[in-house]
Amino acid sequence: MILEIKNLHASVEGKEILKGLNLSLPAGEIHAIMGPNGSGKSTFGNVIAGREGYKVTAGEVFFKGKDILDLSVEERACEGVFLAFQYPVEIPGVNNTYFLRAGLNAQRKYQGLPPLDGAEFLRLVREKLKVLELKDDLLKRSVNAGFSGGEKKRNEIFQMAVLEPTLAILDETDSGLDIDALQAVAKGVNALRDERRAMLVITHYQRLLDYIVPDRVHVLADGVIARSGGPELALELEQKGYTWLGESG
Amino acid sequence: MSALPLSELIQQPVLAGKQEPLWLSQQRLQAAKYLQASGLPAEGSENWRYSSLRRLQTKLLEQPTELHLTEPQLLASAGLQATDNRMVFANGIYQAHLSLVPAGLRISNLNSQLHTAELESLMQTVPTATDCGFSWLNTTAFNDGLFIHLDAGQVLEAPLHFIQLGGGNSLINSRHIISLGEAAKLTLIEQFIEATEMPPTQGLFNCQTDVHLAKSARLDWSRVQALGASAVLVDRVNCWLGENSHLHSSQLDCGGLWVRHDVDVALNEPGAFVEVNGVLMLRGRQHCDVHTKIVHAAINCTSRETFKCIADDRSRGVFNGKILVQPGADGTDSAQRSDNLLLSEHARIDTKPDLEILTDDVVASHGATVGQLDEDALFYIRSRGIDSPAAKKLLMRAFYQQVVELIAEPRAQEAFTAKLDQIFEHTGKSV
Repeated sequence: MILEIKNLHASVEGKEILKGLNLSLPAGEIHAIMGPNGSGKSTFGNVIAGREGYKVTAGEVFFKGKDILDLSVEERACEGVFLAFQYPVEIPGVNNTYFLRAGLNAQRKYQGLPPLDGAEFLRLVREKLKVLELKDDLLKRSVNAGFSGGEKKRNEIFQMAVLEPTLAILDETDSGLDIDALQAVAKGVNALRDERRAMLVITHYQRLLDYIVPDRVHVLADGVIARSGGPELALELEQKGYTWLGESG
Repeated sequence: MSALPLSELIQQPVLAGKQEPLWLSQQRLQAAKYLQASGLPAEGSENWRYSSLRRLQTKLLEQPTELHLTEPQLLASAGLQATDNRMVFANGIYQAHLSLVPAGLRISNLNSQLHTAELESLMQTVPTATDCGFSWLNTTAFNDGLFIHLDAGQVLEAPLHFIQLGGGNSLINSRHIISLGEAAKLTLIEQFIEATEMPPTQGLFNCQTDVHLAKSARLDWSRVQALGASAVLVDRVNCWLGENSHLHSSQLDCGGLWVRHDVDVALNEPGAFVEVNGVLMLRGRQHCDVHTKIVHAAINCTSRETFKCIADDRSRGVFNGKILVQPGADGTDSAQRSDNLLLSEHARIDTKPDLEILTDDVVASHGATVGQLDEDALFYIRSRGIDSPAAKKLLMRAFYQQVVELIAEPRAQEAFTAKLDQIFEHTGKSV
């Protein structure tokens, strides 16, 4: 099991957002987390990534069998947790390549691996760029600075491709994307899909799931998983809307 | 030689120079008279409100002492190659044996020019405002300085390094004059530093640099001030810009215990362009007060300013940016930015954009921010595996990098980043 969440309660600024969430994500699978606005989807992603200010008040989170709730943000990243941000942060003055290499080498150090030198790193990123059909100039630019919405999301997927996490959480990566960008994102995700990894795709809409077909779909409502099912659940939600959930319980 | 408190030195200023031309002796006497009458800027002075001189008055100072410096020591301290053009002053005393001046150009120490008509015509008259104490002290007592006078069309391709070294508790008064004739070009890399294996600077540097740019002249000037933690520096720069001349100045202040740095630029003729950028990197109990004053006195002139201040521990930074657009200075284009980063709850930054616009046809923008490191950005960086101290450094570097990137000359960029990286290792521990 890559991720095992038991009875997770979490609050932000004293307000309880997650109210007893349970989830099991086996290796090799992609699960979608869907839900209406305000249901706790983004809080969930941030809690797993370890963001400060998101307080876990009860429950357990096991990553590859290890309790990660006491680990810092960077330690979780080094263990193999990756969060693709809903709103990637612009960092003017920090070169994308420098940033990514610093991240990758920090993770390698944590894992007891030697750092990649400039040439090795460049070979790796060029290869990933090619797979994702991204332009070289991405490397020279400041992290997300002046990027369009689509470029920012592609950059998230590019970072994911380079860091090769065991668990990737995609927080509404599809929001605000045109169809080309959506396909590019899906391509990146599908390229990383294998038996050793797992992914959580957090989304409001079913659209992304046409391109990234999930093994399971969970519906998050009011801080708990209200319903789980196969990919067909997403289609049902698309047709009936989230209010239908309330009616059926 | 005995050391005296600054307050006494001001009452009995040592008049430097014995075989000087009459006009200079007269200037010195006049300045001494003003100094005795009005002293150093008083507490109430608006221009000095952020920088109290009270503790300086009792500072014990002595006449400039020689620092016996070898060439390898100089090269190592300033990061220079043996073949680099350079003018070197140690405690304000010209070091001819350490300097290397390109042939055929009038680049020398000021004392060797005392009896020239050029020096007399370039020397400013003694200011009369009541808060010019340090200028008067400088005029009264300056013992030497840098003198550059390029004729029309003269271009120095390689940068000239201008090194001012300090050590001990001397009172150092230096006067520097840079004059570029029509279409002349110069790249100047100035460094205020301490030499390795020399005593730390505990004295007071009181420097004044006057810059005159004739029509279409261009000066690219970067200045790295990295004096030791006990040094006191008062550094005043006056610039007069002629038609279509161009001044690009980048200032780094990261040294000294107490620093006052003034940059005054007069855009006197049409089409003049000035860009003044600065980084203040402060920690411990450092105090650094930067005042810039840009006067648009002619049509179609442009001014650009970007200042970044990072204050850690209990340090204090000040940026006061005055822009004055005079009546008739139509077509003025002026932009000023002051961004500030507080790394500790005990640090303090005062930023004051001060625009006075007395004509209509003007494009003028200004903006100031004071903030802390962006929590969202820190989380983002850490979520990629980079630990918290490294993430903070990455953000701080990004903060000042914008100014570094505006420096055109690679060697000057190098001098900037080398110094910043060096102090960087010790900054931000409290955040």
